[in-house]
Formats: sequence, C-alpha cells, structure tokens
Amino acid sequence: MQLILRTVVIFLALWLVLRVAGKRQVAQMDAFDLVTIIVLGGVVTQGILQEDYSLVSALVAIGLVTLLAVGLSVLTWRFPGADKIIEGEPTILLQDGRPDETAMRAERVSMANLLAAAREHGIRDLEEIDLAVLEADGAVSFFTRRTGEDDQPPEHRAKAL
Amino acid sequence: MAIQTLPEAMTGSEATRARNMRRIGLALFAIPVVAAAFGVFGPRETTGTASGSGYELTVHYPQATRSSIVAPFSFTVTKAGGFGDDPVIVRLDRAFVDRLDFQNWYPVPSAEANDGRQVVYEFDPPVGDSLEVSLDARTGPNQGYSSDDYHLTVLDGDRDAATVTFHTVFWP
Repeated sequence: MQLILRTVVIFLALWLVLRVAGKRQVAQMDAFDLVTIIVLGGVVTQGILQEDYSLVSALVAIGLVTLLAVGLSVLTWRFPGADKIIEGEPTILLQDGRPDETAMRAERVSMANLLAAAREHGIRDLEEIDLAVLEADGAVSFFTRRTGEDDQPPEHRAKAL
Repeated sequence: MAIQTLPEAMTGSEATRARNMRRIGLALFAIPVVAAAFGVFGPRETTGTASGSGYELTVHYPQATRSSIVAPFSFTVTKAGGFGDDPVIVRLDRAFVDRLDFQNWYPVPSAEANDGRQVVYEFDPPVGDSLEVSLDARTGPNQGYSSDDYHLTVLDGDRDAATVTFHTVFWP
C-alpha cells in the first residue's frame, strides 16, 4: 500500500513539475534539461521504490503510472474544462506579423526561439505569419497568411521550441 | 513508383478491436496494482505459537515478502522456572534461512550446526524465564516465487519440545 501511495504522490509531483515548468520545458530539451531529467529519474526511482528492488514492485509502479496517465487523459476527454488545468492552454505568440511580447515573456519564448521555429516551418519573414500559437505540448503551430485566409489548419507544426 | 505515407482509415470494427485490445492491456496493468492494494505482495507479518514439554515458543515471521525488503523474524522461547545452565537450542529449516540475506542473530548464537536441511542454533541461557531472539534480515535478492511451510523447533535435549510451523510467500 505504501508503494501505491508513493507512486501516486510522485506522479502528481511530476505532473506539477511539468505544469509549473511551462510549455517550453515540456518539449524542448537542451543540455541542462537532459541533466534535470536524468536527476529527476534517479530521484523518482528512489522515491517510489526506495530500497525495494523486487520485480513485483516495479510491475506495480509501472502499472500504476500507466493507469494514472490514462486516467488523466480520460479526464481531459470527458471534462473539456479539466484539459486547461491538466495540460494547459495554447498561447498566441504572434498575430498579424506582430509578436505579442507579453505572451512571449510569460512563456519564456525569446524572439530567437520564435524565429528558429518559423525557419523550421519554412517561413522566411514574420510578415508571412498570420498567427503563431504555442500549443500546450510546447510545439508551435503557424498559420501563414495564405492558409489563414482559407481558415485552414497549418500544414505541419514547427518542431517544439 | 509512388509510396503512400497515409495509413488507411480504420473501419468501425477495427477501431472497436483496437480499443478492446487497449482495454485488455490496461486491465493487465491493473492486476498487479489491485493485488498490491490488497496486500498480496506483502510485506505482511504475523505471529505463531506452540508449546510443549514446559516450553512455549512464539515466532514472529513474514507471511508475504519481496526481494530485498526487510523480513522481520524473531522468536521467544519461554520456560517456566528458567533454563538453569542449559543452553536454549532451536532448529530452523535451512530453506528459510537460505532465502534471507541477514547480518546476524541478536543475541548471537554460541554454537551453530547445519545438517543440510536444517540449521541448529544454540544460545546461552538467558537470565530469567524467556529468551528473545531477533534476526536482522532482508529477503534475499534474485528470488523466485515460492510459497512454502517452514518450521522452527525448540529442543529439550535431543527431543522436540515445541514446533511452530509457519507459511511464508516469497515474491520475486
């Protein structure tokens, strides 16, 4: 039972970490993030299993984390309102070619990040962009003026910021 | 030659089959979680007692335990009137001892013998009527599953005075 409680607490703590860290942190991994993830992995294992190296405990922890993850996705599907809390909301970073500096500051997206994401999308000039949206998973969706006018979804999404 | 990258659209029955397969998978994941919630994998411990020939033997043992976790094991031998100068002799199944990874008994036995199937421990007589012995042990690593009866016997000379039979499940 303690194993179950520890797993639930650690899962909720990790979910909170991802929500607090912001959208950028979810998708982008630089060298420091890699170190953070390695450290977190070790701490999480220690926190859940402690000195219990048994096979059954590992199976219980894996099973419970899987069920909790599926449970969260079911929650977001059944209650659209919960989606905002669980996964976060998309943020408009740029509209009509003009970057929204307040939104960019809030999401810790620099102009260099935005330009890089636009380049990866094959966009040469910000003037071409009708709308740039930082999605909840950290990816950026671009609506260029041509696709925007037709009210079409973006053909593909830029790699995560 | 053109190579299509788009998958074919799922039919209703295919989607239902895929969903059912996922549900079966989730149910499989849920089995160990539910079992753990009901304490199937332990750790659980309990106490057994037996008496005979003036001796009373109480054993505190793990009912269910897992690899590497603490496995509490202790016993108390009581004899009304005390043990005099006679040592306290107990016999424990070797199969149980082999499954544990332990530092030592407290108090430390004064003598130990092993006949292959059972281990005999001899303790100096305590002051008073009872001897309490505990084992600082963990379940050994790399264990397979087993569910067996084990025996701890207190001896009166060469004869068995009292035996507690206990059942322990070892989970890998």
